[in-house]
Amino acid sequence: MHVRLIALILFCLGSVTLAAPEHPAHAELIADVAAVQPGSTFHLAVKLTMQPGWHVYWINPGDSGLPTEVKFSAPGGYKVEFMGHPTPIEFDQPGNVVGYGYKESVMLVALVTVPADAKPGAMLEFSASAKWLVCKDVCLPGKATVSLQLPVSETPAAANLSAFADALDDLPTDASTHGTAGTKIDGDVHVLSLKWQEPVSNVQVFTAPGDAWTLGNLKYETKDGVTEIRFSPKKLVKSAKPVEMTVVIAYDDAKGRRRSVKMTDRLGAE
Amino acid sequence: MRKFIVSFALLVVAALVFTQIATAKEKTATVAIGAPAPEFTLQDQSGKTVNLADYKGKIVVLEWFNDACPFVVKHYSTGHMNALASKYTGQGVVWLAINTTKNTDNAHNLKVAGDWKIDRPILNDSTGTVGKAYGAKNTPHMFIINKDQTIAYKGAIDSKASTDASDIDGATNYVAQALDELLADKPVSQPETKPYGCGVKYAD
Repeated sequence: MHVRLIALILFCLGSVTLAAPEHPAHAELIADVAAVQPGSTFHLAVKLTMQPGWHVYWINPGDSGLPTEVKFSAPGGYKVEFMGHPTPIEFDQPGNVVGYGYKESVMLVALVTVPADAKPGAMLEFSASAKWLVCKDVCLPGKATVSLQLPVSETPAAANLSAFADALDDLPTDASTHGTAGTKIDGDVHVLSLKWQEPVSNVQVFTAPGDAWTLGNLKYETKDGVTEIRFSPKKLVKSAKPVEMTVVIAYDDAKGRRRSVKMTDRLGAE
Repeated sequence: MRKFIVSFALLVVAALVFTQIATAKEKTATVAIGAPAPEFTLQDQSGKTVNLADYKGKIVVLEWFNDACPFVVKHYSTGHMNALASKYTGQGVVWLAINTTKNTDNAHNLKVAGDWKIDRPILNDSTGTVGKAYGAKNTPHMFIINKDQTIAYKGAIDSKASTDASDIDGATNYVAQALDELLADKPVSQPETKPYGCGVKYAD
């Protein structure tokens, strides 16, 4: 009897120590409502929470890593639009290996339009699948399918308001709503400029040229209220097709809040 | 006082601008296609000294390696990397894996070579000197050095950036493509691609 008990205890202890370490990123699906109203819109987000020191990546991961991907699905009749990746930060890793992405947590938000004929009382299931690479001293691929059930109701019911307010503030807005944006090509140099309507500081530029293109001599400067970005696009793949490259310009606004704007530049147009 | 603040602010701005330009410059400093391959002398997993200069007249493949990286695991778990290397070492190509991971040592590389059935040198570059000389950013980051010891290819192993082994079959293997061309005395049609993988875990 005692031997059995001891064996059982040892077995349990063994199982504990043999269990795989917890994956350093955890995914969940959250919404900014507790119930959806017919004919309204609401936000749905995959929230990835990372253990301290770990990070996941932006659409251009930088020198290493993989973009964080998300795909939402909703019941028939519901329109789901992914709102894009939020403003990244840069991680400078030893050896000048530069990464772009997110630490601590990131929310990948979608805007959902509820059909006008949604039936109050019905229970709905929303889901999303996400794929990421999470890195610290090592990298681990991760994926998850997460879901959330919400009832249809005529009565508005908010949820997670501050989390969503922060997440929406973290999304790049159109550069044209913050100033006068322009692009020109000077020889083989592309010059993107943004004349700001507001004072900005700590400007940082993120570009996503994709696998087939690279940007030579990328430089940027903010002077007299104008941010100017210069680079020479270079085809890495000879058969590379022209691409619309996303450019995100992050900055601190007059109140010191981190914000960003986005513009696009066509590579290979000349 | 105000003057002091203004000049201090100007100094800060100047420092920021300078740092940005300096960073941009450093980032682009890597070996160029056609440029001489940086020389190196490193030890393999059995402690034997390996000199790049000794392989003049041969095509040399450098494979940046870290056994804790899922992108590297992807290419080894399927036997793909060993098969690829064997195919070309059988045709006179020299294939060197380089482990630039901080804290790695010959004993670790010897153990991995045994576990993963790697019969090629795994060179110990834990100080990061060779990785930095080549601008190696990823594992696996691949370089091909021509017989005259100039860089003939640098970039990804293949065209599908992922950790899924099922992506290997549908991908174009850029290293195989470049080696086939070099062995046939043809110019390399795709000498540079965007590398993918984990970041090289350099020592601080």
